[in-house]
Amino acid sequence: MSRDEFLRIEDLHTSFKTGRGIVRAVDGVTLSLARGESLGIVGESGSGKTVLARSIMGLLPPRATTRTGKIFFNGEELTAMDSERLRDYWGAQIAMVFQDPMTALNPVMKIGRQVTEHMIHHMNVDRDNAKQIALKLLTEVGIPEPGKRFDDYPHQMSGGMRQRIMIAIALACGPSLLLADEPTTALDVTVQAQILRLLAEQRAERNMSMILVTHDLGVVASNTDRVAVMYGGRIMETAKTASLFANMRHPYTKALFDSIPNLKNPSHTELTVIPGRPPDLVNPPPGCKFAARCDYATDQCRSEEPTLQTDGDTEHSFACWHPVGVRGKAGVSNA
Amino acid sequence: MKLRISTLTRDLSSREKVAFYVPLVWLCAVVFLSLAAPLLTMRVELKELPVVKPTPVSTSTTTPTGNTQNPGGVTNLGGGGSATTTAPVTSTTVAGTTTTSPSSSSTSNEAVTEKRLVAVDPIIPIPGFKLKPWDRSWETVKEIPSPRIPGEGPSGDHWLGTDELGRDMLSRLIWGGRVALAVGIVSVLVAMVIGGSLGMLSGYLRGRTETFLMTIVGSLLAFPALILVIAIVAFLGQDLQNIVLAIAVVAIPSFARISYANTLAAAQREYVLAARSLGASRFRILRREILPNIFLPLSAYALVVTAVAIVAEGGLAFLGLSVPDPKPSWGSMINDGRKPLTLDGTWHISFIPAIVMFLTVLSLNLIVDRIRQIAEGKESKL
Amino acid sequence: MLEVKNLVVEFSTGNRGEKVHAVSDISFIVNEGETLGVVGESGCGKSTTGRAIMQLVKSTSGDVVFDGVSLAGLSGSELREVRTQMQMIFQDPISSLNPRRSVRDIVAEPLLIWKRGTTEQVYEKVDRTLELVGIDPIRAAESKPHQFSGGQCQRISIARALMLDPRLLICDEPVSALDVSVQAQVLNLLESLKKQFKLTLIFIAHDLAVVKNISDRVAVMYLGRICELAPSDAIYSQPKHPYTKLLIDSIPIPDPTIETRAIETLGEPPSPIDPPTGCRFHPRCPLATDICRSEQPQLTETSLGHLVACHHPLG
Repeated sequence: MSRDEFLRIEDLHTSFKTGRGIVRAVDGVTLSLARGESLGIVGESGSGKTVLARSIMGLLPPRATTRTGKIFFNGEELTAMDSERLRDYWGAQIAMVFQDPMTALNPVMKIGRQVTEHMIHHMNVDRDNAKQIALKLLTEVGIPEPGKRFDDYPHQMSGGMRQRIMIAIALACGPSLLLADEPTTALDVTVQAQILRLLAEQRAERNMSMILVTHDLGVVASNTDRVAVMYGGRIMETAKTASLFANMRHPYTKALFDSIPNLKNPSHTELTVIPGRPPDLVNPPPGCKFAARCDYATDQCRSEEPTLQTDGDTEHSFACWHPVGVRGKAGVSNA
Repeated sequence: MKLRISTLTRDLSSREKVAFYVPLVWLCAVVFLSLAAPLLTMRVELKELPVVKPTPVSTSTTTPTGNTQNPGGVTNLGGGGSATTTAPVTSTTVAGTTTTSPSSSSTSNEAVTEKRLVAVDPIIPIPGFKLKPWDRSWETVKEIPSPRIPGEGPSGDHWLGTDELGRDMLSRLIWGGRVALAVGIVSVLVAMVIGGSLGMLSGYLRGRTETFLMTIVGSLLAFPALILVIAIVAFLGQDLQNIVLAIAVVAIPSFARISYANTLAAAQREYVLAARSLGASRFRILRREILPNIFLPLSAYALVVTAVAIVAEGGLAFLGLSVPDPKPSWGSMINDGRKPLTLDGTWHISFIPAIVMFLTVLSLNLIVDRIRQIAEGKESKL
Repeated sequence: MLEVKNLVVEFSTGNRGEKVHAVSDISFIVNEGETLGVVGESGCGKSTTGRAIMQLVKSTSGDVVFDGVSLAGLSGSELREVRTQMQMIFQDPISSLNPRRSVRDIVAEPLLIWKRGTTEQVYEKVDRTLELVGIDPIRAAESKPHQFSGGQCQRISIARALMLDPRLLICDEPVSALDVSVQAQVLNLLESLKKQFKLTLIFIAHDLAVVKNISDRVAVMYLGRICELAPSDAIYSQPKHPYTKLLIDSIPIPDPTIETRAIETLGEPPSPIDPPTGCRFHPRCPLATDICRSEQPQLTETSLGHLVACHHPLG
């Protein structure tokens, strides 16, 4: 890809050792991200999306995990760094927002302390300066009366407020990449809308790249530039958000989209289901991971694993032997 | 609930496996030997026997003078006696005769029928398991028929040496294991059943039952454990049964707390709600929904308490409150070794039982850790 | 079939005099054979309502009338008897099954409690029902709940709920813990079982799209009160309560061509410990006036079957 590559992931594999065997949570993922771009990673539980996000950070328990592949961040290879150097990146250049704002904050530490802590560590500012920056930050993320809230504990705040605090902590050191792992799943819809808007605003203002991990196609649609759909540890389809929703090429993407109940449909509309359940990542079947649940699967799908390919539209790639939808305008394929 | 050993060691490295299997083997050995003590070791019993041939015997050669007082007055049987040192030929062998003074150098006895110390063979004599009849006379006597060498180091005849009275250490350790077992298993089981039910009732029924039971438990917890044990033992009398009881009473409140906390958590789960909405009675919910779920944490805790109880018995013995002399317990054996510490080469009298107790407690803790890891892993899956 | 009359549920927080007003004076009727959806954000009292109908939580005042029988006055054993007619499915599919028992045993439990039929008949029915919900009975006999996926556990819960042939099924967020693709399976299963067993459903969820799809009528709850109750298509096409509108507009639409509607959201739901006076939605409502702050709006019928509790209804 010729775009200015800010983050590049090459053939990343992450697996865990468990009692039942080796779980291939991420199984050969290649991705890239431009500066200021927002990438959505969509998948169901067990698709490897969260593990992928954590692998980028290098935040996985080292004991039972093996990670191969390369991750370049701003031209530097993250995968080659020792934890000492990585720590300079964590928080400072790459920051993470977690799913559960209830547990991601330290319950016995005041909000202000949690926001300023990393600033003092990474940016060499003294406590007073850090407080000034933090107060400004808290205002930006929409905390009313930040001066008063500064000395509060997390349990004194609502879920949405806590997630705002988490975002403030993530933004504190001015990261250039924000990894948001299901940032709104634990929140109510009305609050979710607020948080998503906040993230979009901050991203635009800071020219920050963002990876938004979610299970909700709706969240991705309005908040990302590009989307990668994951299933069984692999990327099934990736494209510009607009072209993905306009022309879904992978049967899984299509099926996932169709199984969401649509408000526009009259009630008692029968939902399209994806039969079966996600594959077991301990002993995944050969071939396409989705083959067992796919309407279009053939013997080839069950034996040969498809790789990401493009078809006309060079920015739209999919891993499928029998793509659905409309073939891209340019380019030729002899299927 | 299936808790197989294979599931416990499934994803362990070889080093971790050693840290699991070695303690397990040790504990099994302790339990087995304690249970099999009467089968494996000889005892000396007091029996009325016609005297066949009174034999004058000298004991003065080996008995240290410092150990001749018999504080309990449990027996007035003395150390004179002929020694049948050979491997058991018949089921009983004449081991000794009654005498008056233990420290007397030699007495010849002309009586016709006597109460005699009789060595009883092990029920299953194992060839090469060199436990000799004069060595395990804890049942009735403190002073043993000779020949015996007090404070002797490990040798071929006495694998772990002899104690300050010349009794075989290995035999006494095996018999002492029974006390550890009784304290560690019986008292813990009693405490687990009583404390567990109290906690379950107060955790599920809440309201007044909770207030009432937890107040009792709280006040028991607040009472100094040691004083409570001493009081119980002093009041009821110093024997194994009462010691087991005392330790159980002390352990009840902590079991009640644990089961209470776990019941509170389990009662919040929706399957309890589901059972209620199905019309299940309270007792049924307690038995079928809650009990299986608090059993694992409770039994993991029970193993910890087992270790504590074994040490506690040692502490009691040190205060002279364990099973009365001359019955051995690990604690009292450690205590015994205190007296002749000044003697050269008798370090093993305290040291060996201390090591045995240490290894047992350590093994318990290692295995508890492992079980807890598994339980937590399972729990997080649930 | 079921009538909820002025139901109030309050919990004490443990602090002196502090009370959680979980459900404050709600009334509604459920007709035989219909599906009533209850939707609202966390803390709005929708789950408590479901549990109060089952009498699993004590109502502070008000009554639930099931088939002409007032449940509030029933004794313990009478209540247990009535409860068999109504069953409940809970949110967390895994937590609602006892992790230490085999799945077959769990499903058989209701029949064992009530001693209905011989052991053979019981297990014959268990296997039949398990097959109906798409669980392999042979696997169920030897497996514990954690060996099944979330969607399967929810099917098991449904099977258990059906064992006593209930007439009313209260589903408390039955699909919110599930993935989208599995969610659709469970929703379709519920629809087909409803037809097959002629069930009446109360479907509680926070996802308006899901609720709308399965329900005939939808009640929107906010902080312990019902703000709107209407046929499900009408709720979406002409929401009359500003909160319903906000809820609909907040749902992210999986279509990038639709611009995110600029919704003016004002903060988050306040705590039910100290709910606002008057209309409980007024601090977040763009249309709020003085009357909203002082006077509590009553649920009134604005058009046929469309009830709304608002001083300034939309449309």
